Amino acid sequence: MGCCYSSENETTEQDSDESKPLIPPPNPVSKPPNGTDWIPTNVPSARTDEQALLTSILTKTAQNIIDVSAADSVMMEQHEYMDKARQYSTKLAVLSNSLPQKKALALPSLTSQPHQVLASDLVPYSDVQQVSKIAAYAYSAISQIKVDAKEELVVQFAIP
Amino acid sequence: TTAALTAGLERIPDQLGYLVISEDGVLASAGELENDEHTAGVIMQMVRTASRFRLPGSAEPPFKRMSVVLEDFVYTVTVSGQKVFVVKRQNNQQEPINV
Repeated sequence: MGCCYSSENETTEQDSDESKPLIPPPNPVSKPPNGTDWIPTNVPSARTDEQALLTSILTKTAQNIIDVSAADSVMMEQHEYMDKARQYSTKLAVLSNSLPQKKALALPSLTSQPHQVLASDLVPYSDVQQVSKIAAYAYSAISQIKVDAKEELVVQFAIP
Repeated sequence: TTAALTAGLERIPDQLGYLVISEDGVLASAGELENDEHTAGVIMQMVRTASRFRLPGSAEPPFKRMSVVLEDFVYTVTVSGQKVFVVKRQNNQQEPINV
């Protein structure tokens, strides 16, 4: 588990070129990636909440995915590309020196009566059995999730 | 004082041992958990992970006590005042017998 540090508050970029996207985001309505099944937006009202939730997750993911093969090729000179790469490396090097060290998080207090809490009745055996069964079902369900690969994942960047 | 921390744990009827752990290490230990740094380390890792659970819309951990249930015994664990308390208790509960 890990966390990438990011801040959306920094709008004081002197070089606005930095945050300009390299790849113009393709219009999701007019140019769907090849081979992807797009969920139609007019879902019948009879669908369960679960289906609606699944649909919204899929739609959100589809909107956030940048398909580099479907985007128009970026018209950038070789030297411009090299300059940009050098600029980013320098910036990264400067920033990595000043990143704060990650401190171990303090444990939140669960109770002010530790002795009472620990002396209380143990979890009933039937509860433990039920939770074990639910966990087994969940494990089985998760292990059946798989990726259905439709097309190549690695493509060439179209930089001349 | 350490005595204040452990007195209450000693009195738990079916306890087989206990640990009191801080971020710096084991503060007190007794019974079957006496000097058991290994168990202390494992329990600390479990507590750190479990303490991060949140139910949707809540800022607090949704539990007061963590129980590690094994065949014959249970580790009951809680956190209070930056210290982790672990008590090993007898697990007398068995599969109910159908007559």
